[in-house]
Amino acid sequence: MREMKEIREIAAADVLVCGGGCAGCAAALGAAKAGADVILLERGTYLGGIAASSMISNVYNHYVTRDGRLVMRGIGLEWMQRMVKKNAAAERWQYPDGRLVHDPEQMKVTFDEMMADYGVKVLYRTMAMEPYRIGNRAAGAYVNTPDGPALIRAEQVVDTTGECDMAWGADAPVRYACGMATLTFKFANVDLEKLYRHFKNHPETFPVGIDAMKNFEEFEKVWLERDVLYFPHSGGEDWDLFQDAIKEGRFKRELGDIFAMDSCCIIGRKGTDTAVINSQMWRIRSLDPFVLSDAESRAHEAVYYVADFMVKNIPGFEHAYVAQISDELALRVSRGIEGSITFDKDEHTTADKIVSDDPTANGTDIEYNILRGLTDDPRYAKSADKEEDIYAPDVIACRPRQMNFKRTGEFVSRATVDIPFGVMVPKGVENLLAASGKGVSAVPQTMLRYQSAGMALGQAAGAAAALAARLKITVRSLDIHKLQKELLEQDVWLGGEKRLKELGLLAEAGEPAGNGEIGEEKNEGKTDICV
Amino acid sequence: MKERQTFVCDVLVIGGSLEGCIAALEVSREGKKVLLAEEGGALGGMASGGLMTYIPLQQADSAKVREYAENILRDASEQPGQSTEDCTLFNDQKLKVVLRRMLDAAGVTVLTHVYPADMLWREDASSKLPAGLRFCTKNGWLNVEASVVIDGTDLTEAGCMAGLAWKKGRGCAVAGVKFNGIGTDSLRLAAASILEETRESLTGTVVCGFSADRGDLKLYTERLLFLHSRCLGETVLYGLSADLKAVDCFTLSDARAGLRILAYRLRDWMRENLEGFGEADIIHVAPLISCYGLRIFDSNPYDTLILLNQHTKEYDNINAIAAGIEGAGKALGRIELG
Repeated sequence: MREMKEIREIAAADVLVCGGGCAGCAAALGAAKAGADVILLERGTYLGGIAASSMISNVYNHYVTRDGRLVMRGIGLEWMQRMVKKNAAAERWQYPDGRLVHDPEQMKVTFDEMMADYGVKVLYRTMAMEPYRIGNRAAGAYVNTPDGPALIRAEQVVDTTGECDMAWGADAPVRYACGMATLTFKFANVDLEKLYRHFKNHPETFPVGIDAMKNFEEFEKVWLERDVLYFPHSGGEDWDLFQDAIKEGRFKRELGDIFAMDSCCIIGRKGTDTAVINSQMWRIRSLDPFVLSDAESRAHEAVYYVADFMVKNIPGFEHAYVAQISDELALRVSRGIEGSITFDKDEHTTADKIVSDDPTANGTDIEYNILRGLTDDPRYAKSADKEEDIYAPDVIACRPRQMNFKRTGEFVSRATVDIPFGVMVPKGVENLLAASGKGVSAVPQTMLRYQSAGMALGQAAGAAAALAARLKITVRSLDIHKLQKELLEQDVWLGGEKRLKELGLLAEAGEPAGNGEIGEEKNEGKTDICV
Repeated sequence: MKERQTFVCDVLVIGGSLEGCIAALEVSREGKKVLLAEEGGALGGMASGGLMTYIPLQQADSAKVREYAENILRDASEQPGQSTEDCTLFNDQKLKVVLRRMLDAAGVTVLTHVYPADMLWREDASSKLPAGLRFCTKNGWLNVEASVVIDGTDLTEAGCMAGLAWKKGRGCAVAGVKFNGIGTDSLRLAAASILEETRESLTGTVVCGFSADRGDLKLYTERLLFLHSRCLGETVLYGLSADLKAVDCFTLSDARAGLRILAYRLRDWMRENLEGFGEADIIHVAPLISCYGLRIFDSNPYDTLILLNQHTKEYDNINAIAAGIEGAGKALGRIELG
């Protein structure tokens, strides 16, 4: 970087959020709601990060427990409600499974509107390159702009770059996980009804027990009652149309470093003729630009390989064509901070040192299966037999616990797990929080990823940064109660009355010290919930 | 401390736009070592991410330009085997792959998701010349040292990094939107003019006049270009506009968000006001808006820095191809001087 005195300062803010994915958007909004002046940086040209670019049209459920309680609220809920209002998401979405389907293109616009409504300044095509530090305190970032390098100063920095670039750049200790990467695409001219009828006529060919879509009956119910077509990720591995073709040499599951080209997740909304396809995996062992660029290029070839096969072999896709390819190869996980505490495979928070088990090789596959509750390997299987809540004193949001499907036959628990603030606090640098779901302190690194968890983490990081900026203290030293009260004001759910009392968040009169809800958590649309 | 890598080449092209890709190809085919650096995840610039899928072949004024244009129409066509008489539109998504294959075959090193941080300079007794760029990557800094830098970016980023002065040119950023659900007959009915009709495609203009304000920013649509593929049922509407008071990063960012919101207002307006547009649906809003001609650099004293996008004209694929060829020629000439 050229001499500091030569780098122009172009702006200053209370809170600088680096990275406009789901977590970053929530951080910017959480900070703005807490009264801070916020600048949000985004290297691309729209908000929503990988969720938007990869057209992940399924906000993986971390909202609703198996007994129908809406436990994840805050900005994630506000976003979802706005999407429903403009008919960009299925109206009946509050179900405890993984099919909260929406139009990913409108995710971008919804975030733009929210930023405008809350007064967040967004800078597109601006990459946060390196943190600006005063001693070991983050005080902004060096950014690239179309005019050259520039400096943006801030009281507090939230790193939602996905790969914790700012924390890493500030020499905070990090962990690397061998992330799997995918380039998704959107087909147009798809006849979703025809695909449904194919399975109606051959229900025995529908894959069983994969990815929160247990069987044909659930697939049909979701299509008929919720206007969603959802064929689960990895479903192709158990689908005769793919597997017979592989056996007969008409399709290859692997091409060089690319594998799982038969994973074939298909997501669409009834009444439209588009479907998003998620069907390839790369093991990303390095963030080297030459390695990533090569992978990104060959991933495009894989898109057409899979698309050509589907057009020729899958009912309903005969006239389909590739209308949109993701603007970036999506890395599920790669680099995350090593905080003082870590979220582990059993969804507990530990202060022990955890070393990831062989992260550069098999760790990836195991992490993926751990996340989805599909392994009964005793080293990794989630201890999810008892449906008991898991608590943490520094809770900043709750989400439904996950169940081990192989052991219990269920994916989603009736119990909740607290998401702890401490997983966002890096070591060795002050006034910086790393809040991307895939970049927090967690082993396996995948434990807290997906849009809704990301939004919960981001909102808390933004609110914390805003409070610390106002109080002129380090964010690490912020009293957790202050943060929790602010989050309650922002309609984040931290637990029922009993739990809030335990946390010291209920004032004397029995009213929460934040919002006006006590007792039974507000539960919109409870009568519609399918359990 | 962030890692620093160095890559040495003859020519660094910054900007994976169509003109940048063509320049890289032309230089590489003369045996020079080329690295092409792109901020986004794919190649093609306005021709892919900008949804400008129309090539007015008749405007090609040289055989070379025509050859590139025909190759693109053929290789990136929506249907294999389609002749250029059948269609003057190519497929924006396929173009990404086609350009990459061309560059790989020509031996160009391509990097995506790399972010220009600063100019590298070569100094001798009498002068200081651009000699490459430092990029920010997820893995640390990457210095690309080159004899010549070709700037194919829409906002002439390398020119800015070299400290060259510019003035505001055109005051308007323009966006495209990809729709489906609009029938050929409905388009013909709504059209203000028809430019070209082939077996596969229909291009023309349609008038949709409405505007919206977003703070200081004036957003509007007037006359839109439509690019319609009959067999795919896909229609690009191009020409949503944002009048810019300034060309700084905040204003441009505001314009990007504003144009996206405008696109959905346009959809709703068309569903209501144009017959047969009731089922119009947005597949996506162009992730790239046209910033061409927003900045005009009057003078560039550095012959090791070649700027491809100097003009005030709106983006056009033929101009882009021609600019790439011309820029490559200048770069090769400069390399000859040593």
